[in-house]
Amino acid sequence: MRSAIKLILITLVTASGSRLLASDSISLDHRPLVALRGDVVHIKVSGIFQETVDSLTIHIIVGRMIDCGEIKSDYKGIGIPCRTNVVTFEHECKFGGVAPPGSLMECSYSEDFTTRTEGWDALVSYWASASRSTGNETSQDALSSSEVSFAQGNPDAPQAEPIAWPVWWYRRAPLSDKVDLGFFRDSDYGEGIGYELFRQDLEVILEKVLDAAAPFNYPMAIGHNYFNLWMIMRGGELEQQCKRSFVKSIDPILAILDGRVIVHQDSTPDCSSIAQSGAGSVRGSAGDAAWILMHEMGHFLYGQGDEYACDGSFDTALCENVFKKRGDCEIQAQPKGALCEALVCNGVEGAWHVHNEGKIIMRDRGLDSDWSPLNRQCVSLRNAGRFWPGSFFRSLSK
Amino acid sequence: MKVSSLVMCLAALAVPSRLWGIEAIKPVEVNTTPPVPVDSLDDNNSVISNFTLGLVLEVNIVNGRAADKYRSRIAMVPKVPLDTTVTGDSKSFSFEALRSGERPLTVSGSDETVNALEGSGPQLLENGVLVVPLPVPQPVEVIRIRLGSVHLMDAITKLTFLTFCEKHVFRAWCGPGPDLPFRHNR
Repeated sequence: MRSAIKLILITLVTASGSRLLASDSISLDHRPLVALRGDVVHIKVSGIFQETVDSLTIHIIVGRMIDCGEIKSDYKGIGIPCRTNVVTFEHECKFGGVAPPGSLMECSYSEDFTTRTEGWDALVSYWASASRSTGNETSQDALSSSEVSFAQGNPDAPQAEPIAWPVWWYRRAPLSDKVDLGFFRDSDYGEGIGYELFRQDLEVILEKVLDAAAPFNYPMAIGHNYFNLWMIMRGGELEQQCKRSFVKSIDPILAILDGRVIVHQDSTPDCSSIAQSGAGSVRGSAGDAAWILMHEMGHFLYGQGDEYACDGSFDTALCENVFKKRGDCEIQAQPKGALCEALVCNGVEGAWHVHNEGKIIMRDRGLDSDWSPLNRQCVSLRNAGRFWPGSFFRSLSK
Repeated sequence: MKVSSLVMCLAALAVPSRLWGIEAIKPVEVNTTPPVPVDSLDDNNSVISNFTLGLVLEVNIVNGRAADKYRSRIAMVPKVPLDTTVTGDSKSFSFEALRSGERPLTVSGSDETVNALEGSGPQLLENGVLVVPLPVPQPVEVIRIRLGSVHLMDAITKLTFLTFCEKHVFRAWCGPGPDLPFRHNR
């Protein structure tokens, strides 16, 4: 388990609704992100509080994961997990007054949750609460975090009704409040060991993008709790270059996704739609696949074009970063005190972008690249707009 | 399954304890409670409440700017937030559900035909199957499809609802009332 854990700032809310100090924080984490049957999953809660906290409690809810359609027949095949045979328990860590205000407190719990579901796939949720001291008395208020859910079991098993496999899911929040990203295994990984290779690649990618330290993952760093992350083992196919297709049986899963990412292994160049809710591909076996994911997200989630080429969306109604006309670029550049620069395609000035001195995500490859001010503006606009994926392309070709 | 506190205490100590370079303070005591059953319906309600009965429309898009075939079916679909906006820009589809001249629902969706192929520049993918899940609050007669301000097609959906209501006469959608086009006559 990595020692550098991402920071998730979650505003703590008391049971009565009053807020703790703004600088109080709790981070939630679990590893591995893609948990298999037999894995010991580590759940860790870390907290920093400006007043003395006596205990941290991890609340865990576990049940056998099933399609929600099995709970209510009308919902058959909606592709989203529910659970049955549900139990809850608590793991309390007491600090006995040894943690002064402002110190980092940690509470961990580890288990193979499939032992509670008789080997069936488990759907696990967890959240944290803190009890704090007020003078000589310990407050009974539960200062609580959000709830995070994930699955553990055998994601490789074929399913009659495909279910999206939750890797990081804010289950209590409406799906429409979150950006849902689905990661599909391309068939070029192959069968057998191919499933394991895909999971390993995805684990590495997601660990890196969830880590707050680097600038390349700006959308995740500012709003990790905007994102639900799903894994889908079958049904997505990168056929050639930009040509992508999904099987009809996963329509219900596609319907909830804001972004659809086909993770592949071979050297096919990656390609994504320039949209605010679209699809793209990521070479999962690349050493910098996490950067590729964030770059492609710039295309398919935030409508950004490549700033080393001329493939902007050329439509000023979207929040863009590549402009067909110099004048449109200058409208964006001037308030920022920046200059516009021509993008040259095949020896000809084909488009314009705002000049940036440093390495930027849509131009420069590497985990040290950053999102330009205009890229960041487009991220903020999309996040503020609660853009809902009202439709999706099951297949798309030339 | 009951888990012993001792085992959990050891597990807690096995987890790395540094965050942002700060040494974490460890608990002096840990306790794990026995499991308590939870009502499955209550537990799943927050998930199930994201979905409702609706219409799924499939449209063949050709040459990026035309729709030549469609089909529709009734299925569970995600609920759409009330503040879904239709931007009207040329990069967005809009889908207007129409019923007796009224418009009970309009949603928008991204046009994905412009693609960025790394190292090669823009690619236009202009043929595909567009799927639209519509959480219509009541049966509708037509879905009007636009790309930007361009009217692509009117998909007639009345028969889909009539067929559904033949088999589901007790559905609120299909019951008696002023909704004559969709009313069962039994």
